[in-house]
Amino acid sequence: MTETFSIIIFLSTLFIFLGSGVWIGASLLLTAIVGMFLFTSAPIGDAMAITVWSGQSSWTLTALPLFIWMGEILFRTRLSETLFRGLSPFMGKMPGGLLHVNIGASAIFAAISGSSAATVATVGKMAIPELRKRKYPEKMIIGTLSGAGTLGLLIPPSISMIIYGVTVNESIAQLFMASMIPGLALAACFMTYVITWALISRNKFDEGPIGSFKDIFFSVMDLAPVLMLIMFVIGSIYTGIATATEAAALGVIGSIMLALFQKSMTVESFKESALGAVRTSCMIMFILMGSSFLSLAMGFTGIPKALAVTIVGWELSPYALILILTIFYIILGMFLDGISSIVLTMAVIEPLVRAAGFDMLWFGVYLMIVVEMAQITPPIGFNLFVLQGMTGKDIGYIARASMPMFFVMCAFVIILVAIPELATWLPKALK
Amino acid sequence: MVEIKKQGWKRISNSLESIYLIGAWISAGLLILLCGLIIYSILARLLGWYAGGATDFAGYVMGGSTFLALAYTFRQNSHIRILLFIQKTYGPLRVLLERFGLGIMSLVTAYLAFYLTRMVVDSFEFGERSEGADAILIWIPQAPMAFGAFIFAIAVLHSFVECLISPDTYGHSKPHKMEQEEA
Repeated sequence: MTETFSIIIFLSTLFIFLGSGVWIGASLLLTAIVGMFLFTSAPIGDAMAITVWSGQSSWTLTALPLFIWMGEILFRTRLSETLFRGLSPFMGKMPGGLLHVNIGASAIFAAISGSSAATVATVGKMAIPELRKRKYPEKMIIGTLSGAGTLGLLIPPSISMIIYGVTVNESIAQLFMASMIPGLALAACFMTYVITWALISRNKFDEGPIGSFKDIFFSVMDLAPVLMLIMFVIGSIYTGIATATEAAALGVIGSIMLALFQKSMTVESFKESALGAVRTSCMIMFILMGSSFLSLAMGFTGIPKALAVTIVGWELSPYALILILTIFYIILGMFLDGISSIVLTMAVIEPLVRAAGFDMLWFGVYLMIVVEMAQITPPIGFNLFVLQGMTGKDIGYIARASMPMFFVMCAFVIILVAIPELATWLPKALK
Repeated sequence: MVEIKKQGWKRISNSLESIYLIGAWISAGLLILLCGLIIYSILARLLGWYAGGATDFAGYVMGGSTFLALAYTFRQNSHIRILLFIQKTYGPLRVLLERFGLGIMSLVTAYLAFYLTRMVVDSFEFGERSEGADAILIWIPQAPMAFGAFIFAIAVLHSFVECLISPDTYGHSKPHKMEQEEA
């Protein structure tokens, strides 16, 4: 009885502090302190100091600030222009026209930045005005952008994937291998949706700037360095030449060289990129500090184990379990951002998922997709916020425009469950 | 009298602000060092140079980088929180919630700073060394973290005091710019 009571206090602490607008990292730390107080007699503050120190100085995590920095550097180049010009000659001819450029450019930028919001912002910067000028329906412009923007979490290198890997102790390189094919497949699903929509609505669209052969040649030449950088970074991980961190450091050097080559790097933008990277990684690290200590406290409460035993005891089919988890993450995602929902739940969900016998690489890919869905569901959805700022439409309109993409992602989860090899094949093949 | 007090506070406020900013610059410098360190370890592997303990060292550099920028990140409004519910409140209730949030945050960050400092003192007194190949005195990389946590606590307290003095003008009641700070 007292045990149950303690658990109730513990969990309500978490929700009360999170809900009342206390910073997420502090809420997690505080809940962990309360948990340690209720469930152990261990010295709380010292345990916290050791946990935070060892977590924050871990080698695996070093990939994170570097990949963030790489994205920050490229974000400040002429990349959005390059992507739009370089892709439109190839994608404009498909049914649905230049809307495919949104998806293609998002997929490419996702590979560079690893962040959804940055992907939406960068691609949207160029694409929104260009597509509006050509009279594409606003709903489709916004929908494709917010949907395809979520690819940032899936296509490697992905910041959220690094966090998942660090949290559950799985190889980040392997996770990056697992998420590649699903990422491309999801992009293909978005495109299929656009093609279907275009065929049904029978709209004709401007196919975009189709210049002379020479123009196309130059815009493709513009695109080539970016593609080479991506292939270099991801390839060095896949071939085992570099670890994730080393690939990130090489990526930083590569993107600086690219920016210098494009003549878009100034001393000012270099400084800005470093400070921007510091801010973003700091924000994530504070949450990670809280979550690492909370995981420790969670372990003492016995909640994760009990939950795993209970749910495994129900003898649900894996499909039923995935269905429940999907609904759970969609609801959670309405209130929390992606990273917080990953770190907050993994302490509880990991034992459960392992006990149920899921492949942790597959689960990582699955988790990225359901967390991605959260990026485009109101009331808290980062992609929605970014698009709100960029288009001036209200959040309800943007959420409705993104709805079809949400359903495409639901369908993709079903595909991923039906064909787990989408995620598991590449890591095995590269071994 | 009040005017003098105001000016004094402004002076303190400004000098604190520059401390946060210096922390951020050092942090950015450490990020560049981290990148350089990893490039060095790649070269070392290819060319057979010595790079013992480079991975541990990279971790320490990252830790220092993170902690020294915590205060700056906080004052730039880049740490995230859930505003869904408190955004709907206004007037005295909103002020109360802001003060509550900042008060809690002050306590937690002070607690963190205190115990991190104590860890450094313990490591120093016992002369603890790291387990890696380098076996350096562990308090050396721990100290910047504890110091960063200390400025972080100061920065939070700074905002808390601002919110107590004039809840309307202090930084965190502005709409949160979460849209830029998500990964």
